[in-house]
Amino acid sequence: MEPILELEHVSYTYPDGPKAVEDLNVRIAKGERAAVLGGNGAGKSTFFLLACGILQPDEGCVKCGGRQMTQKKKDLLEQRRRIGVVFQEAENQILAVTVEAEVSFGPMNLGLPSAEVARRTTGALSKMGLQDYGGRSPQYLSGGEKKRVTIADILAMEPDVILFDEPTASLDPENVVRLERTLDQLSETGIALLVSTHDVDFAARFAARGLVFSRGHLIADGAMTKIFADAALLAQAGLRKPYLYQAAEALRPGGAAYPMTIEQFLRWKDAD
Amino acid sequence: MAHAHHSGGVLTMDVLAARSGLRDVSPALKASLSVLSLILCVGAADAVVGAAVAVSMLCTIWRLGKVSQHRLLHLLRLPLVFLAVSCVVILLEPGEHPGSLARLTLGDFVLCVTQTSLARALTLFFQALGAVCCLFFLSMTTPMPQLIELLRKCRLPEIMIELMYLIYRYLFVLLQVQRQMTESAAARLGYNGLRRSVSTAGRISGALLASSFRRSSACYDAMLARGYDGKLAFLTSTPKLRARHALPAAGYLLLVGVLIVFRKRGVF
Repeated sequence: MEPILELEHVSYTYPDGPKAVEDLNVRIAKGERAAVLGGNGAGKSTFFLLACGILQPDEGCVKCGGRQMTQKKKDLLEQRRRIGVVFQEAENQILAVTVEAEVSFGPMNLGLPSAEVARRTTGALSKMGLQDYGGRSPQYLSGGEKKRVTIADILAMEPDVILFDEPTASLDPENVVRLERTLDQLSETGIALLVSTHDVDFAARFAARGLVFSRGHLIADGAMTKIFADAALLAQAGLRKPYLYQAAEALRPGGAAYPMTIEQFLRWKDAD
Repeated sequence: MAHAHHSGGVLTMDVLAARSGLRDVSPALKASLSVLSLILCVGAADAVVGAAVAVSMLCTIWRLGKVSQHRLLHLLRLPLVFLAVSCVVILLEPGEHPGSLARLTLGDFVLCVTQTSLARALTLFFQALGAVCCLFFLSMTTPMPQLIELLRKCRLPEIMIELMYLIYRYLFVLLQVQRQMTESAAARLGYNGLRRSVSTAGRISGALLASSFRRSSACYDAMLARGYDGKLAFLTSTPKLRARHALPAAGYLLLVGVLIVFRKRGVF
């Protein structure tokens, strides 16, 4: 099975700074879920920008559906269609003056006929529960609603992978719950999801696979259970263990694996 | 439901237009009605016509546009004051005039209110008031996106339309950042006294410029990520022209026209 997104030995340096990412090797399969962890400046955002073609790698190559992506216009458009990025700040992504116009921006850029654009726009809006928001102005929406609009933006392009850059950063707890439900729904439709976050508890709930960045390098790529069991790795990346993990470890020290979500914890506490 | 903090004052018109009861009426119709009423009102040069147009427009905004009387009067304050001051100047004529209605003496200077100056001032006042209300009608019932689409249909160059869209959209972001910076500075006593206030305001302006550059870079990345190619294209749905809106509008203009004719003929 061809990976839907593949980065091979990708390195990138910003014009005015040190190496942002070095020798990245990542493969994302269709429908996969992964959390991207790491501190500020570790290279998570750069990784996302490289994946969707906004930045061109200095070394290495980015492959989309098995094919290498070049600078050619057609390739770039294809890459941006198949790999969508939901940026951290909704204000930086929303550029239109009505919600409907905003969500239609992506499909319009793909050069689709008006009827198809309209179909995709209404489809994306209803998937995010924004059917009645078409004519509303984005500036008068709440933070959670703006976030939903930015997700609908990307859905309208019918991507294969969606990269979320710190989606919970500015959301209140109620909207975080809503977001998690939305991510589950998206996953069920077969879209691969990569979520970058500081919140290890959220990451543990979201995915079984974790990618850990530290100072521009991908220092771990595998099961979350293995990542959180490796104290040295966590120290290097500046991460802590999920609270439930720490609580379980305190209750029964010296174990091989510990629960990370509340469901796992409840099962674990009743076991042996 | 959603309640974003919006600064009152400056953005009041925008909020009113977005929530207007008449936002589903064709913007072309609203603009035509507004402009034609304006032309009739100003061209008639008659106090009664001006007053009639002013009152009818205000009632339309109040009843059909669903703007509260309180809000409306609040917004009328500034134009009314301006008009009143201007008309007072026209009301008073320098020098002695026999048969004047009132007289004001300031040292050697004498100012009189005569029959003609009173008529002139009243005409001007109501003419201008009528014009202001016509424009209020347009600005309080037509959200900016509709206006921009209307201008596009009027064959304004595409680049200007795109700029209008972007400027309108990012105006709100700019205002929000400016408000946050100002509040933060005020909390740190940055606005104590005139000199300090001016200095703080200057620094905020500079910071806003820098912040805008950074943000524009991030926005551009987001646009690229969605396939932006150099041309800004959105799907927009503009309310269509409907007979049940067009006919009353035409009827209104006809009535105003008839009123003008009656006044000119001296019927009343």
